[in-house]
Amino acid sequence: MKKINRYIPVMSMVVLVILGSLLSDKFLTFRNIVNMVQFSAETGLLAVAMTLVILTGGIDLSVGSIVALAAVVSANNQHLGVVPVFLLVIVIGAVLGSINGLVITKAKVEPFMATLAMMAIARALTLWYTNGGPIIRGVSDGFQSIANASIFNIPLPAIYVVAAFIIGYIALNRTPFGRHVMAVGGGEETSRLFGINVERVKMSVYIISGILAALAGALITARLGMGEPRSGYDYELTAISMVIVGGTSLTGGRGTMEGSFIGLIIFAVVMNLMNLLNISPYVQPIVRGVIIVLAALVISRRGKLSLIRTTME
Amino acid sequence: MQIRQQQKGVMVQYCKTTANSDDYIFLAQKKGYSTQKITKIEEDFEMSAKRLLRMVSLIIAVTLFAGVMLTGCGATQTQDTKAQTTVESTAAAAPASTAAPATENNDKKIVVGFSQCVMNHPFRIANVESAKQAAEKYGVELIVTDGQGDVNKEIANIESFIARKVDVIIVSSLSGKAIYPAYKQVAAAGIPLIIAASGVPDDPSIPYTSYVATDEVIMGQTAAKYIAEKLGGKGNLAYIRGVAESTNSELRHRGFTEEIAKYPDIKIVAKQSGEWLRLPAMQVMTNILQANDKIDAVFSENDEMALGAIEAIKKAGRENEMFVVSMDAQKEALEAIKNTKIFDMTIKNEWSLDTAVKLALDVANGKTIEKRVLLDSPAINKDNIDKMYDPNSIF
Repeated sequence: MKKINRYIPVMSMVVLVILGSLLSDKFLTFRNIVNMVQFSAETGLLAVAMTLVILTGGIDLSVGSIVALAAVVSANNQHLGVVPVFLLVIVIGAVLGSINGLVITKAKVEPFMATLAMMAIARALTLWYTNGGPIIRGVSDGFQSIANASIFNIPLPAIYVVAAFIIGYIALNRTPFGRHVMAVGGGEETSRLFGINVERVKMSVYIISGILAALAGALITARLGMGEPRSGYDYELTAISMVIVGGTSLTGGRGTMEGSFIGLIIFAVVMNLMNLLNISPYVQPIVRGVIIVLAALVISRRGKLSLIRTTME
Repeated sequence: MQIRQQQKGVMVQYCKTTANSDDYIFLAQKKGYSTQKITKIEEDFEMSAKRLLRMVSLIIAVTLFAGVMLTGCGATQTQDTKAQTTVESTAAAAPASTAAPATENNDKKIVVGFSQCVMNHPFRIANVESAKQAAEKYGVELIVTDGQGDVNKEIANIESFIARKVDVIIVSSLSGKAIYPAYKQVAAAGIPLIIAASGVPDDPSIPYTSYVATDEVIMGQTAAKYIAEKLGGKGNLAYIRGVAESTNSELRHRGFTEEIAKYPDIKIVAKQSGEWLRLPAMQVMTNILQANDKIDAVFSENDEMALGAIEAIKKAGRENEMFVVSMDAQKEALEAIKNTKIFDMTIKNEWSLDTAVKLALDVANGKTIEKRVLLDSPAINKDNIDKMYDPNSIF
């Protein structure tokens, strides 16, 4: 039973893909698959970091707003050149991420509240910085090619997101950092007694989250050729949904990076299919909601099972 | 020895961060720490409160610093938008040709309150800018408030106008029925109310002095007629909606669908939401193109989404197959109409509040004004683009 539960995300993905190819002959084409992945690039980057954050038992609601701030700042500082703009964007992400981390680890504010505050602050800074409107002119062709060029017919954003997941997978499964992330989520007290610097682990995941969100913002600007202050609305919720659908528990300590990638594919497939089948925009959010509830049900069942096992032991 | 040291370090740190030190002193005793060491741990625990305070003040300082830095950068490019800005202007600054305030009011300037619902969209910002310019032109004092997309804030802003006893109130709201109680309050206070750039109340009992806007249902009809004519009454159409539940989208959709239904050979092969934004529209259009081998025309409910859809069409290499029609006539869209073949037509949604401010001045001077002022919403395509395109336009 335990094994079957573990593979539910993969199985639902396979079922969805089979369903998709039956419903629409346009679904299983190379072009369509590439499109699906490339349009999930921004939320995919967020999902990589969100997996780490949620594994430590935290949550980061501020990523959508950091995306927007990075998007407009990168659009407005194009005169610096491509590389400096990226450095600037990384610094913004790191600073906002470490403020999140400090408030959570030092001031002992709940991650939900701390990042909720940052969500409001970063969004306000974005609108203040742009006076509300988009920054339309000035995004250089070099900067735009970061998102719009392709290698072997595969658009770069699709490559970025896959690369981010591979790096995330290695970091989580093959490094001490990854083990510490899992340990902190499993139990902070125990981790401390084992000599893990819990504060440092938590700080790092929020900084990583901030940086990846900022990079996602720069990617949006490169893709659109403009700085859109309204970018990133609801991205945090999409990223959290992907992580949960991928089988990671919101209480921390249980979950996988590859699961989140499956979650991303599931959401991308559903969104794509709803467009291909021309399902009414009114109905689409219902479908997304049902998927999340189903995923949560699977996770809570799994939690119950493991609880029963431990009490029996 | 080293391990021992490290363990102690862990313990001390642990106590610093927990609310209850007793448990861990107990733990420490169990682990065999001496009483001396435990006292040390307790002292550290008390110290931690002070550290916390220092940390918090540090965070505040960092945040403030970041804020100041950002303003510094933004200042060159933007003006300060506080929640409430006052535009002062004198009658002397107004051009002599335009209507200056009537003589009886010359010593006291007319004060107009403008409640804007939200200021995060270029259209809404252009509203405010044009209102400020108009106020300067007509010599009235304008107070602008930003509802930040929240109907409760809008109502509070309108109430503050009533409390200040302004002469006229202009409201631009997207909140539908929820804003009606505020309209009633304005009427009860005996202040003239001008509804601008928003929906007209559908309930006849709601009092207002004048309603000035473009008719979005007519805009929808114009777009449908234009597309039908251009297609010769036959073809496949992809339709990109805004946020489906918003008032604008609903009105544009109503006008368009009623009119396009008169042409049975035009088939709407896709109707999906682009959320008013460029990136979602690009994504949705990519999928629509994937699903449909033949599309003759695309209708988008605003220019932002049309520009996103065009990006997608270009990437798919299908820009010779179809044309795009949209709404709003923002500058970037007009440039696209000028320079590309695929962006065919957009319908102007009047963003200027010049007329509204003019009406406010008239009503304050005791003139009677029209209950319903319909603003023109011309179609702009390649034939009249040179006349309609203004490179200095604020929208």
